[in-house]
Amino acid sequence: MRKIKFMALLLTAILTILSVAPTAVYAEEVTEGTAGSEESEETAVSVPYSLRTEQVNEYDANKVRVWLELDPTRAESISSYQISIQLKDSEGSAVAGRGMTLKFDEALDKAQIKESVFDPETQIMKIYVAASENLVQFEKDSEGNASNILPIGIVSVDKIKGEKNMFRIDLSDNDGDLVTVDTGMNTVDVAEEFGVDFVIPVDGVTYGEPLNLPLGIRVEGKGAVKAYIVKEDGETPVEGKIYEGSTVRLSAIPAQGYRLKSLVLIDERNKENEITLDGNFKFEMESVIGVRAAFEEIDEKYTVKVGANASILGTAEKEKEFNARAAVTVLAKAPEGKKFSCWKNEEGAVVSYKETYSFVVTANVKLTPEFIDLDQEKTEDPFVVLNGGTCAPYNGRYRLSYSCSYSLPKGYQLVQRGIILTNQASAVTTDLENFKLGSTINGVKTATCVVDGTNAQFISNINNVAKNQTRVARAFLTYKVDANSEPTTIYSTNAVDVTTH
Amino acid sequence: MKKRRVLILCLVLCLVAGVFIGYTQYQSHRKTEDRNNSMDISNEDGLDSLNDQGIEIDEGDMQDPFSE
Repeated sequence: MRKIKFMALLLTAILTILSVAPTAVYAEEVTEGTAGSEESEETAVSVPYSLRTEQVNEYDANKVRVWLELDPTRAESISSYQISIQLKDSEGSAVAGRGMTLKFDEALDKAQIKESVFDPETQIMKIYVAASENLVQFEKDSEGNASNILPIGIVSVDKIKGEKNMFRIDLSDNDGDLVTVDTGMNTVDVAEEFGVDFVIPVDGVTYGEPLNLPLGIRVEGKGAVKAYIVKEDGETPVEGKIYEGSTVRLSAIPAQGYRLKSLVLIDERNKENEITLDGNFKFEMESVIGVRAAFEEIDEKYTVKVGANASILGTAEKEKEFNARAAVTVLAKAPEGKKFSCWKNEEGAVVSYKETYSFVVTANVKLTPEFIDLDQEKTEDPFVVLNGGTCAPYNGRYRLSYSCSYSLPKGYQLVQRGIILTNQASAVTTDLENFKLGSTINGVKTATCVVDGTNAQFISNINNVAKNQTRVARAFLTYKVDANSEPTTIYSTNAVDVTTH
Repeated sequence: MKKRRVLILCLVLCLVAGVFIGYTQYQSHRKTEDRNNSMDISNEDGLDSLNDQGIEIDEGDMQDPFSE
């Protein structure tokens, strides 16, 4: 019988633990990262007042609500107060020069005097509030416990990049004045005096940690927007949220038959705050940001032609028109006694070493397959070609797009690729050899647009080009034969100029 | 003897139930967290529909250095 009783007790205990355990784990995770201090929970009931702080907005680490919490068992009615708070860094030191402002709590609207004076040298803010009625708010917390609050307001602390942004709100010198009144608003003597008989503890919570902010992307029309976090050692695709202060690069890729019409950023926390996206499509993550991309349909078509012993997949014709950015496959068929070597374009530059060559159409193109004798060895050399350039209206100006292809033999390492750009069109036409990375033409330094990624085709977009301007581009490719070799740069055999109109 | 077996059986069942409840709560919490962390991606499938064969192109953008 005793054994059964013991087992029953054991069972009850286990059931109790099981029912509580999962809830505890969940609650701990939910409160992670939110403001508040367990330390102050204990002190709040042992002293008459404590200074409490709380981050106002999940996505603004520099706005903190400040108030005095009164011990409900000893609560008084207070009509006026004078208190000094001090801005300190995470180490507890006051560093001169940082700014802080106070927006008084709305509950203090009834006060006749509300004044705050901040000294950037000492980082001390003196706060004076005087009213002709009680300012203490007698409330109850979510658990029904009495929670008496003397409101102060919301402090906004200047943002500093990096770890130096961390701060806490402390009480300066821990003295001041709290005018205690009775229900008839008559000043009454209290047994204990603030700064003499007791000190006001501070919750000591540190704020200003880098926030993890969401980036929302919304697309109109057909296309896709990719986002990357730019770091010194390269780029990583955005997954989930982005740390405040990170540099983000956007890449807007239209679907076939479409082009980018607009790309704008919206501060989702403050719609009135206009965020400008420059032509590099890079911005700093300072808020909850929404990306709005619009792609519009275009009636732009390109012709693909193939030479002898070749065909276009899906048609018996040697020539076919395709929508801009449509995917096309061309097939080579070696004549008897020959084998496939490469595809060449009209200028005689190699564009692919694949017998079945698939690509995205971005310009008119004529492709001719090259064949070699069966006993000849097929060789592959690195190449980069500039297929063509287009101009489209964008953002009240123009967007030039230069389309390129490249290939590296197996084992070679890509260092970087892109285009070099100049506005000195006539000089380039006569002297293409001088049009290289870092060169200066007619006293004007050339610009470089590097395109990240490893896909065989890449497009360099030059944004916000003014009207009646000509830009000439040449593709480049820098590679290493192996990890230990010196980088080599090669260029497209042609340059393409585009004029805005 | 029989009562003991029943109690042990109850104990095992309670343990299994407890683990199951804890696991489902944890999963539900994780799902909520994942949803909060995910991007608002209306272009989620955009890359697949860029062209018939799903060929991807890399794009780079630059502010025109020669326009004021």
